[in-house]
Order: sequence, then structure tokens, then C-alpha cells
Amino acid sequence: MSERFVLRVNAQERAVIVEPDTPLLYVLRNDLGLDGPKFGCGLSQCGACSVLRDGIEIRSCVTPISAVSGSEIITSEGLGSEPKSKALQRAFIAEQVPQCGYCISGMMIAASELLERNPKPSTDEIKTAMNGHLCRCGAHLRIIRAITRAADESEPA
Amino acid sequence: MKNSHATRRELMQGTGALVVGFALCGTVTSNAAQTSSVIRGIDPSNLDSWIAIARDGGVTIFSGRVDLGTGTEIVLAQFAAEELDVPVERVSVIMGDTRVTPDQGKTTASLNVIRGSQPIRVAAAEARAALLKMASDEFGVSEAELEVSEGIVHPIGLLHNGISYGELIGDKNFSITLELAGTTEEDISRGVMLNTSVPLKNTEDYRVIGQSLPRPDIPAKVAGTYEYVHNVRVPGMLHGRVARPPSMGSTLLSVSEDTIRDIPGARMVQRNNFLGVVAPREDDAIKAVRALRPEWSSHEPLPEFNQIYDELLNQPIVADLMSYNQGDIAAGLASGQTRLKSSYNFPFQEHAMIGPSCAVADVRAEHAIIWSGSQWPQGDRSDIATMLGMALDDVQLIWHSASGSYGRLACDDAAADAAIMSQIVGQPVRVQWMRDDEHGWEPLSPAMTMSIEGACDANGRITAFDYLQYSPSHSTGEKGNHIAWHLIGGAPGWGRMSGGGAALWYDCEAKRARNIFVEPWMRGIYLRSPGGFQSIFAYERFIDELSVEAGFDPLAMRLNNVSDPRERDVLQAVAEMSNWDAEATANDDSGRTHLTGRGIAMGRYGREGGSISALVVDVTVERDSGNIKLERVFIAFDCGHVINPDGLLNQVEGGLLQGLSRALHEEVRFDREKITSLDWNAYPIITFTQVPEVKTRLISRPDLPWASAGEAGQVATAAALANAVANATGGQPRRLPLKPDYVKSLI
Repeated sequence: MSERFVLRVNAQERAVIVEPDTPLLYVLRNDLGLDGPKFGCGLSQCGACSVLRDGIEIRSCVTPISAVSGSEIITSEGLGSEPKSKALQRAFIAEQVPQCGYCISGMMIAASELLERNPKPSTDEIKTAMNGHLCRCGAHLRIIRAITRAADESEPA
Repeated sequence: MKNSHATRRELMQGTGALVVGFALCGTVTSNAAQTSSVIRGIDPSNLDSWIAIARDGGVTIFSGRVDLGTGTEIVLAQFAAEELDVPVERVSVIMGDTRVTPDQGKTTASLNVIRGSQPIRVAAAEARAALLKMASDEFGVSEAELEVSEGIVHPIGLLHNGISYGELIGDKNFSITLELAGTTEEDISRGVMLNTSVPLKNTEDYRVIGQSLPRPDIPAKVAGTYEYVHNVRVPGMLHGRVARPPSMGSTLLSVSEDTIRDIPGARMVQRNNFLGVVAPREDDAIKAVRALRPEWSSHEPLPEFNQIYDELLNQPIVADLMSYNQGDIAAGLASGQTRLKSSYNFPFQEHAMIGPSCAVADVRAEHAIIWSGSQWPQGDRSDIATMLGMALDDVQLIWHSASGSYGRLACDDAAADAAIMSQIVGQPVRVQWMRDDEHGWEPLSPAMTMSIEGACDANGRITAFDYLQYSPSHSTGEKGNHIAWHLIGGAPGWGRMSGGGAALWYDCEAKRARNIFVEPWMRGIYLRSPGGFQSIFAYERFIDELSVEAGFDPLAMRLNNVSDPRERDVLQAVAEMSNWDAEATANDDSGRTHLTGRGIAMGRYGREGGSISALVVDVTVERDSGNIKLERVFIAFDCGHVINPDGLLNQVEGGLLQGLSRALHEEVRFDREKITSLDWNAYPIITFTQVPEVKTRLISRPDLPWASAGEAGQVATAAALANAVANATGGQPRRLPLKPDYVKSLI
């Protein structure tokens, strides 16, 4: 049976009436019109669907809506309204990171979570933090450079 | 970005066809091609087909080729801006919309720059000349007394007296007829070229070409707002999922809609052996396809997995073709001092795009629109029209970017799935393949078994090189071979042979590459340098083995056998970058837990002379496990005249990492019935922690034509890595992938 769920998405309160087991990904994309998160595997293996839930990265493809009721969700579209994440976006543009860009939404989410908890990560720390995100185009080197650039350009912690 | 600026005025007036949105449109007839029966749709001999300039000065380029994430859009804009003398920001590019873009063939073989840009350069130059003529009439002076600054035509030196392109063209069309450079089917399918009646700019006058201009698609990709085909939604659209048979050739014995009755709005969709579901909600479509309980006939079309390379030799032969064949092989072998024969195996691999294939189709009785990430909008359009039993003019295909594709993959299949479902249900249908659909059903890069016999003389000069490969064609999935079409029946099948041995660049007088194409077990399709990645793995492993056998440093061995200065330059560049030490290549790590190794390889690949790369790879191999750690990679790269250096670097780095991924990890696994490597655990690709330090050097040659960029950065990666592993372990890796168990067996 469908139920009503309320959550804050990109700083706005949103309500949906869906089955409790509906993956958050489809609620975001199809009910709320937020296409930043992407379907990649539906198995929590690739990271294309990642969003922040209360500041922590989650895989929206395997997260039922019932598990995030009342949470604060940030998608890649929501990152641009916050100064640190804005710096991250600028760095990804300056480094001309994406090729196809399909993985990039999830990469932005993981990178923003990383910089939040570790404002000056080393290259190895970046690699470890991003390791669960797959990229087929081979943009890894640019992603690492962009995260480093964003860290360098933000204020010292 | 798309669809801004100018409109295609004659189409707007003639048929209202340019409603680039979700409205259906009628047949485009006012601008249909008259020049050649093989040209589909928009007339390429009409200048207005390629370029439109709006009153506000905005320039729109219409390209039949599409940007697969490689930066084609900015490069085409650079070409147009250069010839027109307008700021590049003013140029927008509409790609792959069969209603408004000319047929430029397939977006394949890294030919966008070589072949795809040519008519756009010519069209821009012709448009500039026409605008100058208009201005000359306006000013009452000769064209020689005028110049153009950023889209303003003015008497030389008198910028403030200028008149803009937009004002000159007003609401008019150019109405200029261009001459096609060739109208054979081959000319058109490779991509139409134009003769030019005005001179194109000289290289030394380039101001836009050669600049690292930023890509227009990147800000939206970073902000999460870029429009992929996965985001296309049409009013009344249903979500579809496909229920695949256990194997190609299975038939549907029974199925019932009963098991999905409880799912809101879910319907079963069936035509012969094609089976799927639709539902208003995407999550419900997924539930429904999982709830279906179809019974299929069992079928075992695949060979034993661990015998594929033997089975390749036993498959029926379809064609036996030479890539090259010159000189006397027997004499060359006899005259060599060191003679060697070796075999190499290369597995089935996936394109493995991160976003599984997706398409939307709205098929009505009289007309159909398909939204697809196809690399060949006109080809997929024409296949789908035939499959649906519709006239070509009644079917249009609008390209939107898919996830990265490195050769044509399942985008076309998803489009056919959506088209059949939409035709059956009479509503628009979006089909999103699931991860196991993509891994299990995309057309693959075929497995190959290769052997080389060769020899070198006392000076390390190669005296004979005799290459033989057995493989299915790399284009059996190309045309008329959609899965859905097979399942409904009537698919015409395939014909083209591709994926033979790459042209050999070494200066050897007796050389031959014989390609034996065999019957495929599964559909094959190009994957980033089809046949090139495989054959160059074999070539460059063989040269390494030969150099060891003959006692030469592997760099010296290569330098001994290339005379083209470009080939020598990339080798010398990578040697310098990596501090190559000819004395240090003998490895003595006995007793150590970690073995270090360094390998070198080069490759030359691509049309029109190709592009050249040379790499040095440093690895550490863990003795106990056989795990490879990629330490450093140095690559020198030459693709002639560089148009956008930063964009090229992105391609070279990406091709390199993808090549290392293919060499380290990638192998499609299957049982007798079906593919069994259905997710990222079973088919892993490279991840961040495996990414080495990479040093890249681009060698630009503005005196040469531009060549292809996408493939040559990849072709030698597997060989360079395997040569490093050989150097570390003392063994000879002769198959891929270099999984730990295999590497351990080499120590």
C-alpha cells in the first residue's frame, strides 16, 4: 500500500505518496524531477546514484524511501547552493573533468562528503574515499586533481 | 545549449518539423535529399542544412555526428568559429537529430575530427564568403576591401562601420548549393564530404583551432543537470522493462500475466519471443518484470568457457582476409638469426558503460519518434523503421547523450525494445536496461586467438613478421541484428567483417596479417580500436619476446625497426620521460616479496595515417599473490595537428586508464547457455586505488593533418603492462586479463 513520506530535499520539504519499498532513486528522479542521481547498477556497486543523507553518502538505488523518511537529502543539483560545494563544482569545471559525465553526479556527492570530513585529503586519501565510485571513461586522474584543487582553494581548516 | 539561437527556417515554414521537444512531427520533405539515393533525410548539398545564422548573430551547426563525451561538440564549434571568424561561444551545435541534421554516417573509428568536421568547416567557410558578398553589396566595395572581426563585417580597419552577420542574413536562408565530394554508398556511409569553392583558412592563421577551449557540456554535467537520454520524458510515457530469454535462440514456451496483476497498471507486452512489461511507475515496471514467470526452451549456443581459444580454431570460417601482405615471408624467416613463434589470447570484453542503455519511443500508426543514445542515428532509425514495418520518412530519431560508449553498444538495442513496446501498447515507452541486461546482452568485443612467427637479424632488424588471427567479426551486432528484432523474427542479420590486425608500422619487408573471421557465438561490436587493441597486444608482446631472445634492449629493438620520424619521436620522448635505462632492464628480484618490472610498447592506429603512442609502464608484482600494482605510466602521443590540447589530454588519459583496466581485469564469463558475469563484481573495472601516477606528453604537429585521438592512447597499454609483468616475473604473459592467479603462474 502506498504511504505518504516527507523528506527535505535540497533544502525544500517534499512529500510523496509511494510504496514504502520504492527505492529513493526513483522517487528523486521520477516523482521529484531530480535527475542528478543516475541509475547505474541498482546494486550499490557503482555510485552513480549517490546522494547525501544527513551529510553522509548513501546509494539511493538500494535505499527504500521508508528508510529516509524525515531525512535531509542533498542531490548533486543541491550542491551548488553551498559555498564549499560550489568550490568543488568550480574545480571540476576548471579541471574539465567529465567525459560522458554519467558518474559525475555521484562523484560530486562523494567528494563533497570527503572534503567535509577531511578538508585537506592526500592523494591516497582521495583514492580511498572515491574507490567505490566507478568511471568508465577513465576520468580518475582529473577527478583526483579537481578534489585536490577544491581543497587547496578553500580556506584552511 | 542545444536548440538555442537560429531555427531552421525553411523547415519551420515548410512543415513545422523543427519542434525540438516532445511533439511529434510530420515528414521532413522540403529539404529531403535529391542528390543520391543512399542519402537519408536532410540534403547535404544545401548550405542551409549545415549552418544557420540568426538575427542575433547566433550560429547553429547541424551535425549528423554526435558527442559521446569525447569533446566533439566543442571541436566542431571550434572549426565553425575558426572559418566564420566568430567567437566560439556564439556557436551552438545540434547533433544527431534526423529531422534536422544531415546524414554523416556512424560516429565511430574516432573519425569525428577527420571526417565529421570536414563538411562543417566547408559550410562555415562558404557561409562566410556568402556573408562577405552580401556585405560587399551593402557597402558598395569589393570583398577584398572587407574583413571580419568577431562576426562583424567591416571595411578594413573601420570596425565601427561594420555590419553583423545577423543583420546581413536577417531572416533569409543562404540558399547555396554545395558540391558533394563523393556520392557512392561507401562515401556516404563513412560520412559525407564537401568540395569547397572558397579557400579554407591556412594553419598559420588559426586562432581558435589549437586552443584548449572549455567544453560547453561540462558545467551542466558537474551540476547534475545535463540532459541524458535517460532523462527524456514524454507525456503519457510508460516505463518498460524487458524479460530476456536465458539465451539467444531460446523460444518462449509459456507466460502468464497473472503474476503481475497486483502491480498497479502493469501490463505484459509480447510479440513472438519478445517479452516485456510496461507500467506507469518505473519501480513498478521493475517489480513486474521480476514477477513474470516465463518458461523458455533451453538452448546451449555457447562453447565451454575454458576452451574458447581452441573453439575459435574450430568454428566455421566466414571470411579469410589480409590486412597486409608483402614480401617473401619464408625467405625473411630463413634470413633471420633469431626466429620465434608465439601465440596470444584475448578474451571477450564488454563496453561496460556505467549507465545501462536507455531509450524512449513514441510509435503511432503514422509516425514514430525515437530518443536514443545511438552512435548512428540514421542507421538505427532505418533499422527500426524496417523492423516496425514503417516507411523511413515516418520514423525520426533524436539523439541524446547516453553514458559513455567506446564503440557502438546496446543503445540501439534499447531503442528497438522501446519501439516495439510502444508500437504494441500505443503509448510512448521508456526502456531502461538493468545492470544484468547490459552486462548480459550488450554486443561484445569478440575473443581472439593470435599467433605470430617472426625473425630478426644480428642487428635486431626484423626480417619477417607473420601474423594470424582467429576471431568473429567485430561488427556482427552492427546492423539488422538488434536483439528485439531477432526475438520478434525477421532480423536480416549481419554482413560486415571488421577487427583485423592493425597496420604494422615496423619497417619489415616481409610481413603479413591474415584474419580468419569465424562464425560468432554472440553478437560482436567495435570496442575502442577493434582488432587494434588485440593485435597490437600480440605485436608488441612478440617484439618484446623477440628482443629478449635476440639479446636486445626492447627500446633499442623498436628504434632499430622504425624510420618514420614521428615514431622515433614518441619512442625517444617516452624514453626521456621515464629515464629509460637500457642496462637496467634485466631484473633480479629473487627472494624478494615484491618484484618490480618495467615495460615499453608502442602503437600506431587509425585512419589516414593514424596516431602514434609509446608507453612505459612500471609495476610491482606481489610474489605470493600475483597482484599487480601499477606504479607509474609514461605516455607520449602524436595525433598530428592538435585542435584542443586539453580535450586531447582527457582522451589520452582516459584511453590509457581504460586500456589498463581491460588488460588487468576484464573478461566476460559464460556457461553454455548465457553470460554469467552480470555485475561489477563479476566484471570488475579499474578503480581509484589502482590508478597509477601518469605522465603525458603530447607532440603536436601543426604541419600535419589532424588524426584520430580516441584510440591510439589505448592500443599499446595492454602490451606495455604485460611487458612490465614479463620483466618483473621473468615469465611471458600471453593472454589477458592479467589476473593474480595467472600472473603468479608466470613467476
